[in-house]
Amino acid sequence: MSDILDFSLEVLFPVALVIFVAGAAYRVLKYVFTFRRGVYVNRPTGWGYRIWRLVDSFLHPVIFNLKTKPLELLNGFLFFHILGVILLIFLLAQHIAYIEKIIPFYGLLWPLAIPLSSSTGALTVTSPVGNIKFVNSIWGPLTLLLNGDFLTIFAVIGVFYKVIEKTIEKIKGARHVRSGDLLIWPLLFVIIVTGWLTAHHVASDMTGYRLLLGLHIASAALFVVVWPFTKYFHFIWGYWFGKLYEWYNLTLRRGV
Amino acid sequence: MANVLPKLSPPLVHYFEDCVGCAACAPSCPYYYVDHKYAPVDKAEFLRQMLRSKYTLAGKLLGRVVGAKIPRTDAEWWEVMQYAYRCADCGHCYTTCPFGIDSGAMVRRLREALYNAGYAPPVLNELNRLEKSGEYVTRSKGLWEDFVKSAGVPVGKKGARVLLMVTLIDLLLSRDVVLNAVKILRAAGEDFTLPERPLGVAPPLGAVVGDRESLRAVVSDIISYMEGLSPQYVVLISGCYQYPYFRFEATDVLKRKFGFKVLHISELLYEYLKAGRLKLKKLGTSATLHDSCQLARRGGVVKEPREVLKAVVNYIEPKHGGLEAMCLGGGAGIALLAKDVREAIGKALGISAKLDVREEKFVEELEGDYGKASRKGVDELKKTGAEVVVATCPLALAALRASGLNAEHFVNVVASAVE
Ligand code: SF4
Ligand code: SF4
Repeated sequence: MSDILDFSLEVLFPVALVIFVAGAAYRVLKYVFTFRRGVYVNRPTGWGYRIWRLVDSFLHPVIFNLKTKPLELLNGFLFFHILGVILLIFLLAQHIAYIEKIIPFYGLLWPLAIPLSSSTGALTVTSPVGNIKFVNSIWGPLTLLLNGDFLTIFAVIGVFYKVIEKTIEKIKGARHVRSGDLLIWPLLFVIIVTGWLTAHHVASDMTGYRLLLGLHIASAALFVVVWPFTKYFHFIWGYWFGKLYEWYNLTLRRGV
Repeated sequence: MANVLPKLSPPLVHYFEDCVGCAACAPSCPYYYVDHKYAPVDKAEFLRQMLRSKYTLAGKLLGRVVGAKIPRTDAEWWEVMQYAYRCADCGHCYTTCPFGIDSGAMVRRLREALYNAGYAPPVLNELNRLEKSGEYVTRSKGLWEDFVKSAGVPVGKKGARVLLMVTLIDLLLSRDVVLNAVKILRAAGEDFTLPERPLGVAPPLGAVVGDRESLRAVVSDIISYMEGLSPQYVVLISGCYQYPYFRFEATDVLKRKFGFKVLHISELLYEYLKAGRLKLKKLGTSATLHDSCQLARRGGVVKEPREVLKAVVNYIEPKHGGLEAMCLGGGAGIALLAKDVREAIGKALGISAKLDVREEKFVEELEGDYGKASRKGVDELKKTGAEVVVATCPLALAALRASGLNAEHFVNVVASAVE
């Protein structure tokens, strides 16, 4: 183990995964152990209606938010969640290359890969020697927008918007700004910045590069550790359980 | 103090742990427009703070640093009460939350914590006591006998197809509506009966103040009475929270199914129309419908009242109806605290309306906020330009009339169209 990069890859990340699995199991098993069977009689509804209600329960908050808080929808949902985080984490070519090493069939996503910048389709992680992969994805001219640089900007706007919004709300005395928020937003910011600096080879020498990449992976490992214990878990569980349970509760159980 | 808190269940774990604090729910709440501090998430957060103290290690070790807190002083509990009674449990924040978090349900549990710690608005508390003990029956005996005489229909008839559920609130606030319901059932040639006594004050008040023991006792008492008469259908006139409780929750409260079906009167009338059992004439007026949150959003009764109204008036759909109904803010007992209603009930039941200074201030401020909370919904109904606003709940009707609208109860509108 020569430096922080090796340490992050060989120690921190595996440990983080173990903590993640234990934490996620703890969170999910709570639902199992507090379960109690109920006795319900519903109003009859047809399956066509039920399926429409399932779609609507996911759609309704988005439409409502668009009407009542368009700025929040744009920054919080579109810039931050969709463009900034989801695409960047799962489809950035560097990330596909890395995840493919752990989960081989992840390589199936290569056709959807997003290049680092609009001007280069070459993967910096695998260049310059041997086995060069080019991002030859289905996005075509869309890569003018769908590229790591742009998406990083969206993610940074999203994070800043959230931090400022939360700070203002906290000052105003909103109860829903919680202590966990203080941890997760800076953490996300560090991950994004170190990732961007690494990918652009800002450090000119190998030691500096490995340091930045090491920090990027170490902070990502920390993200994985806190994932099940913070609001980040909504992505894995809360969102899906919440909307599906609402549908079950209102439409299947009551017939609404 | 920790034993004042509810036990965890899967939905409660979700509502407790999975709120991300995005406040997307805020604009759905009528009380958010009174003051932003009443955003659904922030009201529910009081319960989350308490649950963190009881159920999380971080909460136990670090307390307030991680947002874990159980009120200690009397003043702190009163502050919580102020928030917990700025929620009509309308369910709008539930469906607009991207995570399906039912802040109204959280506030219900918050009221339980309050009740267990000895806090509930005095008027509601007294009504709950009367309902729980059954004392309301003796206190309203004269009133009930007088009503039954004027209705002139079978009372307590075993095996009638329909039992019309009449509560004391129905009788006190909308006796005309009950009598018109009787008129419609007669016109349809229905085999029906009235109960021999009012079925609750505004049951289950235990659910409103957070007294679970009362909730169980009252639901159990009313359901056993209904089962004794063995009707095929129990029909509710009120479109308020009695509907979700007796239609969906009572079976779970008592942990068994019943031998009858519970319907709102609009569902029964819709069945009559489909079967050609009821002849209705067109009234020539234009009308819109104010959906009751409990009947429509939490109960799913959206199509039936509309179809019936379309048969008698020129129906105008409001901008937000049905599952997106605009809440007027009076649900979950708040409208019962309004001065006129409070005094009418107090007089009929012989309750002293005397409140101490703090209680007086609490009720007065709440009544003021209730008035403000209803404005958005009222304005929207005004914009429809309809001559009449139809409501299914006597309390909503009172709020609409107080806002200067020409409002009428659904049953009364239909009754006036009976040929
Ligand atoms: S209850 Fe839902 S909408 Fe409201 S703040 Fe929490 S997660 Fe957001
Ligand atoms: S249930 Fe209705 S009144 Fe209560 S917090 Fe939610 S939106 Fe507001």
